[in-house]
Amino acid sequence: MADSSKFDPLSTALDRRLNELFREDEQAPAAPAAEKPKSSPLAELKKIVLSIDWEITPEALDSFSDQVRMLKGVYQGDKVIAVFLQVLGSLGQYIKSSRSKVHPSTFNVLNSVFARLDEIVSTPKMPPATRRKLLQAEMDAYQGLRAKITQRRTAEPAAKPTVAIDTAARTQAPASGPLTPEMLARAVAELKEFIRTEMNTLRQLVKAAARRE
Amino acid sequence: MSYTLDQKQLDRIEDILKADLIDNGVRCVFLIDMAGNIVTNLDNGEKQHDIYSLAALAAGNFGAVSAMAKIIGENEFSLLFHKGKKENIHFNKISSEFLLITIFGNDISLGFLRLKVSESVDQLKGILEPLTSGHM
Amino acid sequence: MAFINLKSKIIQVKIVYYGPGRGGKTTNLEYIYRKFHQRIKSEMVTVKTHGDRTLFFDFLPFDIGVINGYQIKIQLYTVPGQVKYNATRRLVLRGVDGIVFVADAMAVRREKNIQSLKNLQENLASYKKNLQTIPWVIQYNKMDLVEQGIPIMAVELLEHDLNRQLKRPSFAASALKGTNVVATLKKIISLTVASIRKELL
Repeated sequence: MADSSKFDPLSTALDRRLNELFREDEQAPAAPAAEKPKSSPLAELKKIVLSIDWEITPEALDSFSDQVRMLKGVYQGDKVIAVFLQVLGSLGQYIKSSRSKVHPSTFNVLNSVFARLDEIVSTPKMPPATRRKLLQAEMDAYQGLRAKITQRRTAEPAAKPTVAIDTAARTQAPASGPLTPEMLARAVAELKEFIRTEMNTLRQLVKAAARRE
Repeated sequence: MSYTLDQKQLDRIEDILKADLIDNGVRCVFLIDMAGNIVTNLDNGEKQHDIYSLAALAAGNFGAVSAMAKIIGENEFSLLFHKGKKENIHFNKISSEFLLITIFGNDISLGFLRLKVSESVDQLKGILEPLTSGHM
Repeated sequence: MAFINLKSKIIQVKIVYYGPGRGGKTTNLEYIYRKFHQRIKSEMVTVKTHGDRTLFFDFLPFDIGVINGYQIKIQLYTVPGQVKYNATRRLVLRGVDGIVFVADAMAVRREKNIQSLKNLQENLASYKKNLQTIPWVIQYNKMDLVEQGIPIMAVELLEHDLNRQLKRPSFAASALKGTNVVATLKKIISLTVASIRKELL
């Protein structure tokens, strides 16, 4: 590149600026995971939850639902674990149906619910009161998430029908005070109803989409 | 050789990044070219990083990792992500000339971030790829 | 390549200091940073080895202010000079707009200078660039070693080895003491900005 003429105004301006900037007169001051040794019944689900944390794929979400369904069969006698699994299942469905519109906080709740479940399953001698307390905390977090989702949805113009995860907000009584067996039974029943409603909505959405194509 | 972006293109890019990423809790996002220049950057107003140094290092880092991929017989890696105690950085190639760098806290899962970044990149490709086709 | 942002009216220009290992590339930037960092108000980034050799690059960005309505930002880079870092050198050269070739004036480094210049040609060629067209200058560094009795090549010899064909602007310098460091920098900035001036207008 040839040097521009000395009389070129741009070069002159640039040279002047460089001279000012790099004046050498003054002296500038000197510059300056708990894995158990034997395999847990939740090991497979744990792998899936960890992989969802890294990458959300339809395959991972399908595996997640399958695992949850399988574990529901295994733990159907245990009311606390059953509720945990119901919540996980519901979260999985929500993520699957919302895709990229999923609320960002969903994954924190998912990880937290799973972590508590893992704790309970790997501590068979845990007192029932402690189990219920852990469940309570996660139900609160779950409620919080639903509230955020509803809030976000009401802030947006209603463009298209979405999974009505917030219907449960209407059906489920707010939990206050210690979780009694009666409250637990009611929570389970309400969740079952809520899941049924969600699945119906989903089925209708799928049918509508198929008709449109 | 150089490329230029007009105001409309830059506005569109910023809208995409804001809607997909900043509004979903990402702390900072910057779009850079492979030489380390910043095309645009957005943040959520909280912390101000030295984005010029970050951009230079990010480009160098990405370049080095790409070279490593080729050495081990991979065309490229599908994930370049650095996890910190509180802050994390994710890199995503938009085209042969541009990178999207996101900085996010632990309130966002990597899986979710990758989902949103993937969406943004699809939209940004349309704006950026025509700029450098035929150039180096 | 120079990046021009029409919206915020910024031009970013990349200048790379190239040359054999231990030739003084990093020392150039360190001198500029040490002397002027208060005025240029930016920090220098270095990616070094434990032995203080440049591992990846050194980086010093600064603003030279508004010219013709455009704010001009300069980005200075050095490359690692050791032969084994060729891949890194190549990637740091990506998008380069102007080059300072820092030759080592020590007599024992004669061959290294020639090899390094050849290496620069090869790496530029991988980006379809060449020394005939890209703005660049030569610095013959370590002239201060004469005072310590270390054999230094004469400028005529260095010019013959490295600059006889293209006759680029050259500077006998001492990066350690600062002699001609700024002159080299000012020259390369002028040449580089001049070469992209048609984008400015």
